[in-house]
Amino acid sequence: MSTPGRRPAGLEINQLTVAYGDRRVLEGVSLTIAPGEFVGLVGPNASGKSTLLKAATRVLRPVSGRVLLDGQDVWREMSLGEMARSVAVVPQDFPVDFPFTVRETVLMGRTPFVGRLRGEQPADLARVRQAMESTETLDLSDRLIGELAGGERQRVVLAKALAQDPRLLLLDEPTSHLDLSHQVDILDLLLGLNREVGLTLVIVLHDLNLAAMYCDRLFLLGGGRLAAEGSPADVLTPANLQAVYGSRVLVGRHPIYGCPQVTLVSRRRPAADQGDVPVAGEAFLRAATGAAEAPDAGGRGKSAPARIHVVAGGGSSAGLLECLAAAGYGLTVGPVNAGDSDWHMARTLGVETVTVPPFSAVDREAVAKAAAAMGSSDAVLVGPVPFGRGNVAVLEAVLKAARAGRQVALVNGGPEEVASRDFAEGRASALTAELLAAGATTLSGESEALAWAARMGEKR
Amino acid sequence: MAGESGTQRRTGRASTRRAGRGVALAVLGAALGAGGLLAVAVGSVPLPVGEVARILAHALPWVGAGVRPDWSASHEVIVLAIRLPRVLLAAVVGAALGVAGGAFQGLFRNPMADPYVIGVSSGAALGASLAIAFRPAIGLAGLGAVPVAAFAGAILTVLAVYSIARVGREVPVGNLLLSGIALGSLLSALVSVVIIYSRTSLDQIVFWLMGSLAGRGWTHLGVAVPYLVVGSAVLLYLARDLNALLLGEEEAAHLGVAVDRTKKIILAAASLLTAAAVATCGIVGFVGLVVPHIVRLVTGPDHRTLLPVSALGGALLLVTADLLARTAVRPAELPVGVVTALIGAPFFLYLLRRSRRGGGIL
Repeated sequence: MSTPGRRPAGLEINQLTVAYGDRRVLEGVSLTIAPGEFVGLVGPNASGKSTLLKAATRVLRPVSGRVLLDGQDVWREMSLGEMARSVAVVPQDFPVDFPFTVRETVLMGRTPFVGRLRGEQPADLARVRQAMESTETLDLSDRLIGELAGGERQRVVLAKALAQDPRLLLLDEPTSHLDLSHQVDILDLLLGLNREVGLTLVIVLHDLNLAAMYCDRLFLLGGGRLAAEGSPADVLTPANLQAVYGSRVLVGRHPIYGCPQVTLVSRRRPAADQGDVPVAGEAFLRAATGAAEAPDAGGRGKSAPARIHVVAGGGSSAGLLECLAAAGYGLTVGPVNAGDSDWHMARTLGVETVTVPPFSAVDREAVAKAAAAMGSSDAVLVGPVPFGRGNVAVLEAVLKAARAGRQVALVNGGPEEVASRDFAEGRASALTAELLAAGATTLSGESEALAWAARMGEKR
Repeated sequence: MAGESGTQRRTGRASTRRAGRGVALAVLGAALGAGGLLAVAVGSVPLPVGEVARILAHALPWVGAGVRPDWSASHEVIVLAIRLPRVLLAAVVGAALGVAGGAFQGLFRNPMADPYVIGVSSGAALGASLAIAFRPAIGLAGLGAVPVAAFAGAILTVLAVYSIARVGREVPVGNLLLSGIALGSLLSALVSVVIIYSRTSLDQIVFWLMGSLAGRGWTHLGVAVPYLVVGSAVLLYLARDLNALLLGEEEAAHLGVAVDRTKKIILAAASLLTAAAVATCGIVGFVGLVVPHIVRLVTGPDHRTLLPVSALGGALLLVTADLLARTAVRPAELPVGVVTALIGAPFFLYLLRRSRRGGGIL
C-alpha cells in the first residue's frame, strides 16, 4: 500500500472475565499485544477466542477486567466512534443478503469518518480506492456482494475494514470458509499489510498450521483461560495441544519455514505401511490411544521412565523411536544423517537429535555429542543400524559408555545379524562382540526393546 | 456462486447500474407534481388543469397577487377546501408509509417487514373499530373519536410489543417481530369480536380497515403533518446508521453506531410516523411494503437514497391510488388500500421477474 498507515496501536487485555448469563466464557484472561505485532488466537471451539474479540471491540461487555487500546480503556474512556476510527474488525460471517455493490460495501468502512449530513468527501473516496487496490477488488467494484465467490467476498470485507483506516485490525476466522489457495491469498495479504504498513493484526484462527506459518506470536485459549502464549514453536507443543484439545497430535516442522506443523492422529485408524516414510505407526497408536499392553507396566508407577539414548540411522530405527516415545521414555537420538527417515521420525516426535549433514560421515564432534547424550541417559539402545567406516566410531562410544556402567542393549545384536550389516571390514562385529562381553544384551525386536526399557526404569 | 458462468456475471453487472439519487428524486418529484395537479383537477366536477394551477398559484403568498381570479367561487372551494387537502394528505401519508416501510425493512433486515410489522395497524384497528362501534363522545384537536382512538391504540400496542420483546437493556429484533405478530393476531381477533357484536357498524369498520381518504380535510392534515415531518426527518438523519445496521448489529457497532440507542430511536420514529398515518386514513396496505422494494431495485439499498426516494414514491403511489379510488367506480368510492394493492402488486411483480436478484431477499 502506498500510504503510510497510521501509527499502529497496541492492545492490552487485563484480567478479562466475560459471561453469557451465568456461564463464564472467559475467566481472568490477560494478554498484551505490542503495536505492529501479528498475533494469533487459537484454541478449540468454545474456548473463548471470539468472545475475547467481542469484548475487545465493545460488542460484549465484560463482567470484569479491562481492555486497553494504547493505554486507553475502551469501555470507560473511549466512545464507539473513537473506537471505530482506530479499530476495524473482519467478522466470521458477513451478511450478503442486501444488494450492496462491492464499492458501496467498502465505502461503508468510512462510516465512522463521514459526517451525517455531509456525505463522503474526496479523501474518503481516495481511501476507499486505495483499500480496494491493495486487496485487488477494484475490478469487482460494480458487482453485487452476494454474487461473489468466497475468496473475492472475503477480500472485499477486508477492503472495507482497511477503508476504516484502522490502527488495529481484528479478524475472526477470516479463512474458515475458503479453499486452500484463497486461505493463503488472504493471509499473504495480511502479512504484507503487517510487514509493510506495520498494522497490528490480531487473528482468530482455527487452523493451527496457518497460525504457525503466519503469526509472530500465538495465544492458546482453552476453556476460557489462557493456556499458553509465545512463539508458535513454544505454544504448539504436543503437551499444550493435548491439554487444550484433548486429542493426541504429532508436531513436526514445516519443510520450508521450519515453523511447527500439527498432524492429527486418529483414534481408530490403523497406521499404513509406508516403507521409508516415517508415519505414526501401530505402536504409537496403541500407546496413544491407551489400547496397548503397557510397555512399562509395573515400572512406571514406582519410578519415572528411563532416559534412553538410541543409536539410530539408515532408516533402521524409526519404529523403535516411535514405540519408545509413545511409551513416554525420555529419548535422545543420534547421530543420524539429516533427511534420513530416522531423523524425520525423531523430529516429528520432538526428540533431541545429534544430526550430521546428509550422506556425510559422522565426524568427531558428532560422536562427542552422542557420547555426551549417552552419558546423561540411563541406558543406551543400539538399533539395527548398518555400520560403515563413516559411523562405526559411534559403536566405540557405546562401548565406552558400557564400560562406564551404562546399560546397553542391541536390537538384533547377534553375530550373524551384525555381520550382515557390517560394512566396516569387521570393525562393527568386533565392537559388538566386545559390547556383549561387557554386559550388553541383545533384543529381538520392538516389544523386547520396550520390555527392556521398562526394566531400565525399575533399575534406576 | 463460485461456479456461475461469465454471462450471468455480466448480467449481474449490468443490473447494478443504478439510477442516481438526484435523477430519481427529480423524476419522481416532477411526476408527483403533475399527478397532484391532475388529482386536484379530476373529480365529479371536472376542472381544467390550467384553472386549477391558477387557483393554486393565487392561494400562494407573494406569487398569488399576480394571478387575477377569473374562476367561479365554487371552483375555488372545490380546489382549496375539498380536493387539495385530500391530495396533500395522500402525498404526506404515502411518503410516511414509504419511509417507515424502508426503515422497518432495514432495521429488521427482513424483506417482509412493513410499517405495520410491530402491531401498529392492529392496535389502531382495535381503537378505531371500538370508536366506530360505540361512538364515544371524545375528540381532540378538532378530530373525531375514530382517529384519536386509532392513534391511541397504535401507540399502546407498540409500547406493549416493545416491553414484551425487551430483554434487559436490549431489544432483539427477532423478539420484536414475533411479539408484534403475536400481539397483532390477538388484537385482530378482538377487532372481529367488535365487528360481530356491532353489526350496524360493519360497513364502516371494514371500510376503515381497508384505508380511505374520503372526507379528510385540512384538520386531519394539520394534526398528522407534524408527526409525519418529524418522524421522516429523524429517519433520514439516521439513514447512515441504518446502512450499517443492514450489515448486522455487531458490524454496525464496529462502525461506531450506538446500536441499542439507534434502534430505539428508529423504532420510535417509524412507529409514530405510522401511527399518525393510520390514524388519519386507516390501514392503507401495500405502500409501505412495496415502495421501498421497488426503490431498492432501482437505486440500491443505501438508505440515504432509499428513504427520500421512497418518500416521493410512496406519495406518488398514494396520490395516484386515491385519484383512482375516487374516480374509477363513480359515484361510489373504492377503499384506497384496495387500489394501492391493485396497481402496486402487478408493477412489483413485473420488476421482481425482470430483476436478476429478484429471487434473493430484497
